[in-house]
Amino acid sequence: MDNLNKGSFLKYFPVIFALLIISVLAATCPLYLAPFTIISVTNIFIYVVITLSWALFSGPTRYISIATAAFFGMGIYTSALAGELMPFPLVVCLGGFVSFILALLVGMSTLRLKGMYFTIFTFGLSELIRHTVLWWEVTRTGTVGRWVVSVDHTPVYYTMLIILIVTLAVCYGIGRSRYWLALQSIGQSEEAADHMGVNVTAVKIGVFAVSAFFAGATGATMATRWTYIDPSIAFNPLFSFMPILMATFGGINSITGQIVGAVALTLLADLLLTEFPYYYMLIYGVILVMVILFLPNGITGLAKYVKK
Amino acid sequence: MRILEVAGIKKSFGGLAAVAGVDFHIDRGEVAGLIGPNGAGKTTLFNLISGAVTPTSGKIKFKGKDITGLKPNKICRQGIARTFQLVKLFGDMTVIENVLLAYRFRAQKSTGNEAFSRCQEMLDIVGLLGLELIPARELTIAKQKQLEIARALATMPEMLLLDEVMAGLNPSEVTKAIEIIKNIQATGITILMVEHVMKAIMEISDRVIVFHNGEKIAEGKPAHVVADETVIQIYLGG
Amino acid sequence: MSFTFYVDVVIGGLILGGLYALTAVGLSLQYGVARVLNVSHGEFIMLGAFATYSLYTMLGISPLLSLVITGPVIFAAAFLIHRTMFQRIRKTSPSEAAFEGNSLLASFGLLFIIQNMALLAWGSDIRGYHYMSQSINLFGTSYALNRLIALFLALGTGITFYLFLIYTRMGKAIRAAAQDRDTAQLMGVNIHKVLGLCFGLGAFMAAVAGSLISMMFEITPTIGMPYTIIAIIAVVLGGLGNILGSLIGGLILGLVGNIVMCFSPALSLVAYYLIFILLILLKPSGIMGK
Repeated sequence: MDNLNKGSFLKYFPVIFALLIISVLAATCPLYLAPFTIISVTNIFIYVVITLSWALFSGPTRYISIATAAFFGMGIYTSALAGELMPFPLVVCLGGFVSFILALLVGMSTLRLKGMYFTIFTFGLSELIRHTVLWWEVTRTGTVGRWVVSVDHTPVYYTMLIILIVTLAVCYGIGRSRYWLALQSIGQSEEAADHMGVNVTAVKIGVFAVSAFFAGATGATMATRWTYIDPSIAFNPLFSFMPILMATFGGINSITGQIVGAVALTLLADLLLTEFPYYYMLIYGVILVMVILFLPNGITGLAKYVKK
Repeated sequence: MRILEVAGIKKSFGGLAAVAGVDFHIDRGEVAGLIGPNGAGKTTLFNLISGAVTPTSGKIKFKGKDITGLKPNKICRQGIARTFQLVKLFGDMTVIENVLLAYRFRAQKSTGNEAFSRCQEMLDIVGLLGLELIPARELTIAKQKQLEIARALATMPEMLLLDEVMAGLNPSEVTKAIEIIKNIQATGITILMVEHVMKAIMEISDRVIVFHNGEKIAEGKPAHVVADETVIQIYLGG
Repeated sequence: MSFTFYVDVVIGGLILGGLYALTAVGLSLQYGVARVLNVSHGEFIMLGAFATYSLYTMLGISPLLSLVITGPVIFAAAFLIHRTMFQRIRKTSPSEAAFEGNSLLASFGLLFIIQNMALLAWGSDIRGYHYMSQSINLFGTSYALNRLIALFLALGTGITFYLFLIYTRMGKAIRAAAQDRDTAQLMGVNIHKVLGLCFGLGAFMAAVAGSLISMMFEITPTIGMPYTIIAIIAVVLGGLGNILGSLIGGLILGLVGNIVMCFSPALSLVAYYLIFILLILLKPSGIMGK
């Protein structure tokens, strides 16, 4: 229930206080942290955002999307194409918007059908776009790659921070609204949900598009990390894999779990990339398989089990 | 006053006509029973009325308005709610959440507390008070059927379609269910129920419609229908 | 355009189609019977290709002979994966839909595991070898012998498998399980063995296709995913769960792909996806679907 009375305000006070401290730290850290650390924190923000936005749709509705790499890549290419034409914040919004439109198109064609068709379609989507972009670049512009306008790590950090805050706001907002019940009901029994007055098609397509927006905006932001991009870099299937892994690992139905999962696995990735750069895809694949086999509710499920 | 009018409704799947041209009406406030052997087309008819399936031909009018071919969520907003022969609950959601979903998508401006207590009222009507926080899939079949009724009621319907809600209930559960349906009728909701449990049909129906092979073959007061020659034939004959 | 040009395109399309049909039938066995949409299917194709490559370049074993080695080995590996991974997922999944979702995710993890292992073993360089690449004259144009052999072998595997399905006891069990798993089990079919077998057979076909691919094309550890996508499209084109349908779907895609490649090689995947989009918009149940 969403009713706060005086008693629970006192109970929540420590949490609110902690959040306040974190917010102040987050807002000011570029002033006193080393650039390398800022970039690492930005990286964590990126994975938290794409994990949360993936789980927002695919978690409750059980329509598994493997399209995150497509939206992320569209965002990256938006940055490459529009980076010199407009200010950075606008590029980021455009990247989100382009992905939003793409998701609407994908949703309108595939979300009318069973979940498997949707998943299949999203699986090949990033490859399809990669091939199309590659063909276009080779035949029309003669080059394979593009240069990206580079942006300093501090504005990138703040942009990601804002995207993160907006994503959290949207996820918590939906989580407390009747649309959270609607999304779950779609995953449980779509036909019944339709009969109870939920416009199932509109909810599915809408929420899918919103999640794509965040992936696209994040891609547009991250593009500035690389000075040179090409279709293989931009549409890397790993960006579809990571949010799925992190959300499943953290707990597919818990926002906190997803954040913890994303943070933990991003830090692990940093470690693996320095120590075992040739093994990290392998290790991550193994983690996903292990989680599915032994921890179906992720570490949140484990935490609940331990509490008992 | 006629709340539902079905004219010439036909539904064919491939070459097979599940519903082969049916005309009938339901009056506001009545309880109408829909009976017939298995495969007679009763659930298909429900699917046609609720919008789960579009008719091959024919018209359906609700409160004078043509609702033929509308999507289920639009038909729900018009005021028709239903239960399902094979229970379609939101299994991992709690009992109260199942009802809350339906309620909050009907009554837009409901606050948390108000919605919660209104939904508890629905649960009270069907006798599920006290089970709010249990996941729906953990209920017994009988209670699951009751929950489906509560969920349907939460959409504030003017007409309720009940699809074999008494199937598999023992005699005392049947008596309780009959009570519940009578109470629902008392609030002014029109009820159309598919049933095989004759006790319920005889006791609560104001009128009975008999289906066979996708066609309406008889209708009228329960005592009259049960004594009808054709009806007896289809239930006893080959 | 001359007659020989058309013959050329058709035969080339059949060669490609034969390959696609083989991979599609393999995937259809895995999804239609074992109900695992194995997105790592392409990685098994890649493994078959590299195993054949290594056996030929390091031990001099002819690719045709190595089929006898790599096929069964990959079959056994896949059977084991099913017995350990997917059977457990089936046990722990609360519903059929949950099982399909979980096993799809698990196979996604498997994709990265296998691809990474291949990268470790063979590196990311492009590999290739020459085997029977002499030209043969047929119907007025010349073809590389290895391509004709590939077509012959793909057809051979398909026909053998078809006969297996129709005439052997296990084949009948598979067809029964594909139609109705529960009833088949009630009729005495050892369903766990059949599911594992189908998963293994699917990987076996992938391995054979991979071997054939290594004879005709250059290979890298990342060739898997496009083949997976094409196999999936072929399966949907034929009708999800219909094994004969996937074979037809594969042949159609091969012919279309070869025609498109005459104009622009890079656009073949786009062409396949356009077919896929049209399919889901107009007839999602596929050619042979209800």
